[in-house]
Amino acid sequence: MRILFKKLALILLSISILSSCMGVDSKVLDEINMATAIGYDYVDETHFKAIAVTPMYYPDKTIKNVTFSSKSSLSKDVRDEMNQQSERPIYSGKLEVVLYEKKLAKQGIFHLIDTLLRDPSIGTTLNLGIVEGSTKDVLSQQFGNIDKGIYLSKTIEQNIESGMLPKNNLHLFLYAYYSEGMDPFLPIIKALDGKVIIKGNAMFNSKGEYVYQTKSRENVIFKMLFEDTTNKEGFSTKIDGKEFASVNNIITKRSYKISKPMTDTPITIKLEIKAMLREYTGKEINPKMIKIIEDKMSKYVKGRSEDLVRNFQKLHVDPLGVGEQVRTRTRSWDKKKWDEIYTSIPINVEAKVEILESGVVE
Amino acid sequence: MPIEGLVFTKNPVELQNQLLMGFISITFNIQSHQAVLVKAANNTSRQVTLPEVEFSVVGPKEALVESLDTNLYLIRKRLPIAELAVEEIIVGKLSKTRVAVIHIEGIANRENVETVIQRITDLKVNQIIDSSYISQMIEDNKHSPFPQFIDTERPDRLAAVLGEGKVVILVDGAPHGLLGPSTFVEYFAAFEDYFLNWTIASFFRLIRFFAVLFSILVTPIYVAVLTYHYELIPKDLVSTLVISRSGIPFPPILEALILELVIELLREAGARLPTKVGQTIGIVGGIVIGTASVEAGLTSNVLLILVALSALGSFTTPVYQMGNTIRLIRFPLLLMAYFIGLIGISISFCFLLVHLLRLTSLGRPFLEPIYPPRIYDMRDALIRLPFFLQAKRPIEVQTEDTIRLEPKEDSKD
Amino acid sequence: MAAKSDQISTFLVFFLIIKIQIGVGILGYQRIIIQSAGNDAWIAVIISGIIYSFGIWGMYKVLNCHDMDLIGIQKRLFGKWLGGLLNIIWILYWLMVGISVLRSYLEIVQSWVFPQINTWLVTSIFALLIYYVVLGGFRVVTGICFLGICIPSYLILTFYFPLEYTHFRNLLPIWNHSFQDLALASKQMSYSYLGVSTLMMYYPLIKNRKSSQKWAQLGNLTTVLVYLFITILTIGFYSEGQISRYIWATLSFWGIVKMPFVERFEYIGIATWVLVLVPSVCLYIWVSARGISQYFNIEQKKIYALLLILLVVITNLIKARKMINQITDYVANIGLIMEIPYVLFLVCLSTVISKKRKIKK
Repeated sequence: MRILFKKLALILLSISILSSCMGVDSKVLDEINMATAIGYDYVDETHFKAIAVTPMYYPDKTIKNVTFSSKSSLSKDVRDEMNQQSERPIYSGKLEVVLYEKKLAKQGIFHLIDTLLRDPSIGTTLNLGIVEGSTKDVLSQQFGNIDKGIYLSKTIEQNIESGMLPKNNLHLFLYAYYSEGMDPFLPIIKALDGKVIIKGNAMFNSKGEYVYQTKSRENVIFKMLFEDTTNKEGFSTKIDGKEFASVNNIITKRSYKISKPMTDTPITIKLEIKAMLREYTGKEINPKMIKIIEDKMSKYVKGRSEDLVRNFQKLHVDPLGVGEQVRTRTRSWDKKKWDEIYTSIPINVEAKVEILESGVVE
Repeated sequence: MPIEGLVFTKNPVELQNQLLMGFISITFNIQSHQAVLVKAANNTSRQVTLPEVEFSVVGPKEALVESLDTNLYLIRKRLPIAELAVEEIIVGKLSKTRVAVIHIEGIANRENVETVIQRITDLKVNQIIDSSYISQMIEDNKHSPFPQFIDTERPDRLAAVLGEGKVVILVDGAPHGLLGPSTFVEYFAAFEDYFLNWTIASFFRLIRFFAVLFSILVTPIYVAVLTYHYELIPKDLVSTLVISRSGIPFPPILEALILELVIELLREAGARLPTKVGQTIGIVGGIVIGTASVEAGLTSNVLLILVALSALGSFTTPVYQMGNTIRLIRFPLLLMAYFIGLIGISISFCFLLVHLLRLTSLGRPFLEPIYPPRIYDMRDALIRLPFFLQAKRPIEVQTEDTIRLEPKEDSKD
Repeated sequence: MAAKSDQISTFLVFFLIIKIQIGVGILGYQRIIIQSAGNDAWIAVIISGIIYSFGIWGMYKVLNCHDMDLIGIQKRLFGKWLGGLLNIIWILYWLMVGISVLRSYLEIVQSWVFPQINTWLVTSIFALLIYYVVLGGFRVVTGICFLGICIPSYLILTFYFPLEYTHFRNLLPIWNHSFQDLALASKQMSYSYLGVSTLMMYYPLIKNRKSSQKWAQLGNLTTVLVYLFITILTIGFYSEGQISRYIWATLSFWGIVKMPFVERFEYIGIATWVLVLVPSVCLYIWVSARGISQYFNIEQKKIYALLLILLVVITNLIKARKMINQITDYVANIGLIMEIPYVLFLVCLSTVISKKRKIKK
């Protein structure tokens, strides 16, 4: 009995000790400010301005955003300065989106991304984006009764799932940045009367500097070239004269044919595209017509793709990861040599469009 | 006129004992020192009624009563064999309570039976009022909150476990029998499981296990996540949680402790009051206090739902004592969740597991068949497989005769 | 030899071997081996697995030959003084591995969850828990090892999420690293498999000890498969430059998990890891205590308190990542020599001696 009493006393004592000096700082959900979006704007060569957005939840279920901004050359300093403005500590564990101004991206953004990587509370599913204009324009407007960070990340994710953006997040950006035969890219966002619009993809070179922005027509092509997809969006082509055809619900398969890696022999990218005819401005659809449309479309895709790839070579960026394809096919991989020959290797695209369905009418 | 239960005795001690038990003593001759004892006690006992604690929709509807003889009859009626052995021990200096230890010869492990008899005869107590006294006094670990004997009021359940080779203890004056050795999973098996098809019974059992896990873990996890690990909450859930907690002056741990205590208060109040009033209290307490505290901004409605659900989960355990234990062990987990978040929950869960690992019931491992892992006994543990797949008695009991079902003769017609 | 109630079923060796091999190391071993062998790191995983399979074979050879635990064997082979010295080295080694496992876990907790956590208090809580386990005897230690595999095994399901981001092309071209690279990676990988030597202490407590080797080998095989799976996933999931940035690559996998009711699975993973870590520390403590009790003839229960105080003190004396790494490397290097070459040496020695005895007869 006495032993039991001693045990109980010990337990009580330990509870009181535990509660007082465990040394863990609590972050009670409603007593912190969770930054959901951060934007970086260009000030001058060494300084940037950061804007953080935190949501305020009101009991009547309305959500308003509060923004904090500060100017510095170090991300950590920014956080300290923002904490001075805030009535609750700001934490970045629920960060959804980080945006960078295009002008800043031109100088390279990797030193800014490093802080995201180092902080264990930031998840790697975070969405990154480049903003045309200043990030302040995007982050200072309210998008209805929803938190800005969540709104922006949902917009990007929706466009990845069904639209024209290839899969992208912090992890994939880092994957591409660190891999030897591939360069990263990020979506470009622009503020547009109370909403945002996704403009395309920003291409980065191996140093992490922004170099090129895809045009709207190139986006679908880029996505098809980049990954095997099922894409709800589609593209359209002129068939002849005034007649247009457009397809959607595309399923693409992509394969590389590299006969002699690390040499000047041409590299062929094969695209197999299965699609549904969505719109056709001509008169009648018959098997013969479908064949014509398929041929025209194949040619269209081939032309566009090759243009895009040439362009990448000219800019010396490799967002498609052609280098990776070569690296995994050769034993004599040499990053330096590859960088030298990349721009001069002829890269061909073979496209084959197949129309599976032509809608519910004949 | 034939008279039953005549006893001739010369022993004055026995004479005294029997007189106190309601016998009439007739002395023929003073010199002979012999007396005849005639049973004339007016035994008032309750009629055999419906089981209340372990009610089942299907199956027998008899429950034990306070009379040992009636209870023995209820069991013997189901096992009319000569091997059914009953050993009676008188315990208690004041109460002189008859305690019966029952087993089936040739099936039950002698060691188990002897352990029970030994422990009961060793008892030095004044009074035995109920079978629960016995169970508390002869348990392997008397400080553990976990019961180590199953307490049941169903004679059919007792008969069934006797057939499995377990030992049953009945106490005169107690409408509940004890059975052992028992395992952890048995406490979550309602006897009704055996009356239903095995698929349905297995589903119900899994639900019960889930309910218990939920009941132990959900409030601690709420406290841990809201106090330390806000990163875990998905973005769509953040607003719901923050809004439900906005304006609440207490930290999550205090909020949770208050609500858990309120539920315990309601349960306690309901249990102490007559049935009808108790029900009213439950409804009034549940609805009025719950809504009022949310509206007053003292607790969040998300937590209210979680606490109510976890209370509900703890009530699904078929054995009453185990339900109490489940409700108790939630509190240390809650405190540890407050101290070091999810890691605290893990550590205290580890403590719980180790405690269960160390527990024994009549010297048999309590956590069997999970550990030591015995695949055969798994057939009637987390799920219940059909009877024809359970041809052997549980290994746990270490029976002398292991075969329960004779293998079917090959009938290839 | 040992009380029957303390003996464990033969097949439980399977779980004891897995438990001791999968500890805290699995959360971040990838960086080191991928830096040495790149996309061929998975070959190193297999090679060192095979080496350990040999090691286990050697241990059984020695143990079956003498039918006693390592302490007794060394006493018999090397006499009182040299044998005693070797016994003390082994006991210290096991204790240090136990300590470094606990310390590495605390390091993870400190850098991911609670940077300012009071390590004295946490280690004391762990010590209490371990004390509670080991007092229950070997049966309970085995029990917690068994549950420590069964319960956290649900985490395998979470690897479905990184699968979506895995580029299996990264495994190609197979074998484009030199033998030296692979040998180095295999050596580094061997650190992850350390601890099998504990077998040599609990061997007398196995029911059918002579026939338990197949379970031990199966346990080793399972460990290899688990490591192989995670290594392949890592090679596909990260690019080579990227992995060098992640100290705990397995934990970083969980950053990708997103479910409707929970995201950022690292925190749950770290919390669940308590269940993975405690059993292995318990086993190490049990083994060192058994070693001491066998060698000095002291009752085993009396040693635990001392060992656990040592555990708490030393764990807290080791500070900063650099020191942790240094000590872990040190212990691992000693372990590597003792668990494979030394055991094989014992095999040779005991076969020679037993042959001599036969000739004498």
